[in-house]
Order: sequence, then C-alpha cells, then structure tokens
Amino acid sequence: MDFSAAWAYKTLLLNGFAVTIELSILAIITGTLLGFVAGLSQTSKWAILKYPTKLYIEIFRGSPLLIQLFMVFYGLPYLGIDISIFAATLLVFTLYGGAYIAEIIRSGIESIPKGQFEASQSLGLTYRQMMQKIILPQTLKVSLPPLMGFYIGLIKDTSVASIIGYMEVVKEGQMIINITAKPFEIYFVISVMYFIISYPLSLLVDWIEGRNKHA
Amino acid sequence: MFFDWGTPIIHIGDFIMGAFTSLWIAVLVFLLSVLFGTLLALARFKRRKNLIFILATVYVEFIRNTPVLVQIFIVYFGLPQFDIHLSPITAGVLALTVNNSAYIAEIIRAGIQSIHKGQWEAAASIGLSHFQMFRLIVFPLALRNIFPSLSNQFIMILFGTSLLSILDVRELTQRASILNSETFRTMEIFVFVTLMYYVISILSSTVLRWVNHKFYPNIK
Repeated sequence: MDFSAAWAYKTLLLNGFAVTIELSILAIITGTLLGFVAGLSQTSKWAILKYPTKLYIEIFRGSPLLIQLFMVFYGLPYLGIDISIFAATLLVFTLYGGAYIAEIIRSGIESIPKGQFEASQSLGLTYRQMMQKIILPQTLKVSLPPLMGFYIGLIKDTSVASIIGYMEVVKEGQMIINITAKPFEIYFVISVMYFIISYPLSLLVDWIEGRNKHA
Repeated sequence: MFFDWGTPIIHIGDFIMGAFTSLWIAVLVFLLSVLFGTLLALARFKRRKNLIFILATVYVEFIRNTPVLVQIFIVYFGLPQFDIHLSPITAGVLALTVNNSAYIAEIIRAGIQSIHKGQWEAAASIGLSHFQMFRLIVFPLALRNIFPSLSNQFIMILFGTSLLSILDVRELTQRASILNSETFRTMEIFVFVTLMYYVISILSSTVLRWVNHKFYPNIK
C-alpha cells in the first residue's frame, strides 16, 4: 500500500471529482424537470401525452445505462448529428434520470387520496391550481426520500460515463494509473471521494424518512 | 441515410448467446448475494456493539456509497497488486456479488424488522429454538414482504452485468460493441440491443412475479 502516487496527483483527482459533481448537479436539474413532466403525463387523461411518455419511461428504465450511453454517443454521429461528449453524456443522464424520476413522481401523485382531487374540483379549482396548490406539495413530501435516494445513486452512476471517455473522476484516475501503475490505491481514493459525498446524503435521507413517519 | 435493420437481425443468434451469458451471470450473482446478504443482515440485525456488527456495518455502508464500476476496477485491476489474479468473469461475478450483497443485506434486514414481535413470541411459546423461529417463521414471512424488492434488485443486477463488457466478458453489451466495430451499423445495433434488454427485463419480471405467486398465492 503506497498512497504517495495518489497524493502526488491530488489536484487532478480533485478536478476530476469537481467534474463528477458538476455533471451530477446538471443531470439532477434536467432529469428532475423531465421527470416531473413525464410523471405528470402519466397521470393525465390524454392518451397522446400518456402513451408516448410511458414508452420512453419503459425503455429507459428497462435497459442498462451503458447501452444508452453507447446508443447516444456513437449513434447520433452515425445519424450525422454532431454532438460533443459533454452534451451526449448530459443528454443520456437526463433521459435516464427523467425516466426513474417520472416513476417516483407518478407513484407519489397516485398515493394522494382521491378525495383531495375531488375536493379541489368541488372548490372549482382549475387543473393547474389543483396541481400547484394541493397535489404537488403533498406529492413532494411523499416523494422526497425516494427522489434523494435516486440522486445519490445518480452521482455514483456518473462514473459509467468514464467508459465512453468523459473526463470525470474515474477517467481521470485511469490516466493517473497509466502513469503511476497504482490502480488499487487510486481507485480506493476515488471511492472514498464518492463516499464522502454519498454517505452524509444517505444519512440525511434516513433522517427525513424518520421525520415523515412520526409526522 | 437509410437504416439497415438486417444487420442486427442476421446476428440475433450471437446476441441471444450474449443475453444468456448476461442472464446466467445475473442469476449466479443474485443467488450468491442473497446468501451473503442474509448473513450480513443477521450480523446487522440488532444494534450490538460487537466487532461483527461494526465490520458488517462498515462493509454495507462503504459498498452502498461508492460506485459499482469502481468496485469492479478495484477487483480486476487492483487485486493483482496483491498477487491475486482473477479471470474477467470471476472478477466480474465477485465484484457484482460484493456490491449487491450490501444492497440485499439492507433489503433483508428491513424485511426481518418488519415482522411483528408477536410472531417471535408465538414461535417461542410453542417451544421452537431460536434458529427454528428464524428458519420456519420469521424468514418466510420476511421473504414474502421483500419479494418485490428482491425482484427489483435482480433487474438491477442484470443491468449491472453490462458493465462487465469493459472486462471483455462476452455478454450482450460486449457482443453489441464487437458487432458495431465489425459492421459500423451503430444506431441499428445499439437500438436493437437496448430493446433486447428491455424484453429480457420484462420476461425476468414476469417469471419472478410468477414465482412469487407460486410461493405466496394469497397476495397480488
């Protein structure tokens, strides 16, 4: 065990980890927006909205992230669409995250008692008012722990982008390993970096869940 | 620009071989993870301040909070530094088992803790030993509650096997990559294989639901 190599390249590793966090935050924002739209579409009465989004959700929840990355990163240029590795990666994580988040939102909305919808209608609220003021605030409370859980998973999932060559922390680590020939130590340090972010967040989720139970 | 769906369809035999590799790895990893996960769950069942509880907790928390890809790399590229050389498939199965045992341990632990205390007391009152209580009463009841979560975890394992393509394990994703580099029919191949994964995951879910129904016919 010799961590001097990892220490010598700490700046590169930290920069790589900053890229990981940046990608995670962007994907969380875009994926959540898409997930909300797709999740709301699932509870809609309009078939034209409901079924195409359902197909999208099914496909992206029903296949591995890696094959999705291949499909977009290698497939789009094949169709003559020029796309940077950053755009391709963010697009895939948006679609992938959106599909899972849509399911979380959908099941959150469906957990709200029917009486809430009926009461909103009997007050004469429009669909938009009902969703905005009555349904979504309650959905958010139910969906927050699984959403946070998915976000934590997404941070770890960004490591898969290293396989198509996106320069996040794992890819950065591989470059350093090519120079130092210390795979065990470098990968161990990288996993500790993830742990430092992921573990406190998972404790936070546990705390929120506990608080919800007693409320 | 025209699509040539003939390319993936001609090679469907190759893909099906890859799919079977993915599937048997997933099944093996799942069984090993349930076994090891049960042991971990038992070690973490009661908040004791003994060494076994602490070790199991550190293991579960560290594995659940680090990426599976990095774990695969540590096993395959890191262990040779300690003179442990594993074949790609062994390393892949080991890494995925190490990873999923931690997740399944948490599922099982939650399942055991969801069993009402009265069940334990009733089992004790008819004179069952501690091991019998667990094996005959508590574990089957817990399994019933967590079957959906376990099924879900199996699908996650199946998708996790695609990561083994980087170790050159010839599973479905790797075969798609190989065929892509031979024929350059990129979009057709990856769309086709994505849909194949989708079909496999649907079939797996259906089989698992059927098994669930066989064992526990009284629940939907």
